[in-house]
Amino acid sequence: MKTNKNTGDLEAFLAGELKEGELWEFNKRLEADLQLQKEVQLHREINQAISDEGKWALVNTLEKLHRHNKKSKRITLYSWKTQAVAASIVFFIMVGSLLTSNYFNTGMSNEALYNNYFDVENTLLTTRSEHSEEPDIIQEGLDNFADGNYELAIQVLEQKESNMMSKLYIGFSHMKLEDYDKAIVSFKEIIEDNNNLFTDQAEWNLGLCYLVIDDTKQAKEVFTSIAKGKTTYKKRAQEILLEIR
Amino acid sequence: MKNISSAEILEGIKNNDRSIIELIYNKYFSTISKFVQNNTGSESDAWDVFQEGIVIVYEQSKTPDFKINNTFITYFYTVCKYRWLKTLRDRGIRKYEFYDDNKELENIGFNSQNNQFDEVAEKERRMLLYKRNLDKISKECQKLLKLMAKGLNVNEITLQLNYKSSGFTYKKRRICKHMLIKKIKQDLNNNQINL
Repeated sequence: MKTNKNTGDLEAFLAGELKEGELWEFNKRLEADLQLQKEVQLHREINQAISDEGKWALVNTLEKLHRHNKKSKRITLYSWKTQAVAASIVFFIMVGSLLTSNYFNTGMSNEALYNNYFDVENTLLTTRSEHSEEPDIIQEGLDNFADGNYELAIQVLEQKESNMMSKLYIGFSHMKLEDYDKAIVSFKEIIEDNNNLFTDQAEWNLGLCYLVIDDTKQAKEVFTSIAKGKTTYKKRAQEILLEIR
Repeated sequence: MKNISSAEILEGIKNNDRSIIELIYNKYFSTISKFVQNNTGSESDAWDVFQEGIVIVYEQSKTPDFKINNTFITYFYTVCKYRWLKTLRDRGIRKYEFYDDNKELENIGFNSQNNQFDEVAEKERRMLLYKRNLDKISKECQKLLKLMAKGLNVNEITLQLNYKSSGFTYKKRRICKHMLIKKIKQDLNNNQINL
């Protein structure tokens, strides 16, 4: 109960309720007692925390959002269980068909080819030197990309998504994160725009994305089109076409 | 988020604007979560870092003339990154980090020479712990302690909460505060947090 009494004294001290003599005595104790000093600090901080209604309203909003998000994730997970069974069946059928083909017997795999040809670092230097006048947000996104913070680069660059260079680096970032479906979307949008300096790079990398996800038919189509054209990727496209099985 | 400036986001945080908070959560939580989880943290660590990051931003937003020089996410990511680095150091996973002359910290408005960021981050961590424990005590005690923290005297609290006497309010205040302090101290101990 002593602690309870101490809490009362402390509260009275903090609320300015101690009478002159009591206050003098308390201050004297406070001066000499390190533990009491810590207690006072703790009580002051707690009072400060309790009174900051703005902060707690903010934290409550965040907590609600987080709880709601976790709940919806769980629901999605349950429905995924049934989908997972179907997916496993498809997976075994695919493995079976791959084993009956010559896939594992000769040449480089699509993934190995992709790794041989995907070289965004060179592209980065070229692009940056040509566009040093771009607004800060794009530069910031490129810096994040160069630092290897690909998630962050996407977040920043998405704020300038209508800019095709931004879109190109969103695509590259997705490639780095091995999220090829999203990279494909970005590159297709650049190609469809058809009014920018980045369509060549977008086409080449679109082909690489198809290659790494083993959509060899689409990859060949893209590289064939590049090989017939006059861009700087022509030679590389001809080479890769010889290597794709 | 496309047309919302960093200043507007800061204002939204300061005023608990639900639409802005929702945008930040939906857009950036996964980014922070991936960063923490890619650096030996768990999903729950990621949530702590995100929440503490927002509270640090809230505190900074109240500083006069404070403004973000980069986009909001670059600023917020840096706040969360240093918050997580501090946790890793506290857990003994990273022995030390060079903070001196740290441009990244200075870019987000912290003096890197005197561990200012660590102090702010640690205080906000304690504040969240106090809040968590306040939520655990009875609604009646919460109400009483909130009125007290607002600066109301015992007579005013007695009237507002319709208590029979100021003596009863004193007693109730002591009991409520004692319960809260007990829970907080236990939590501080469990989490090895010092004042």
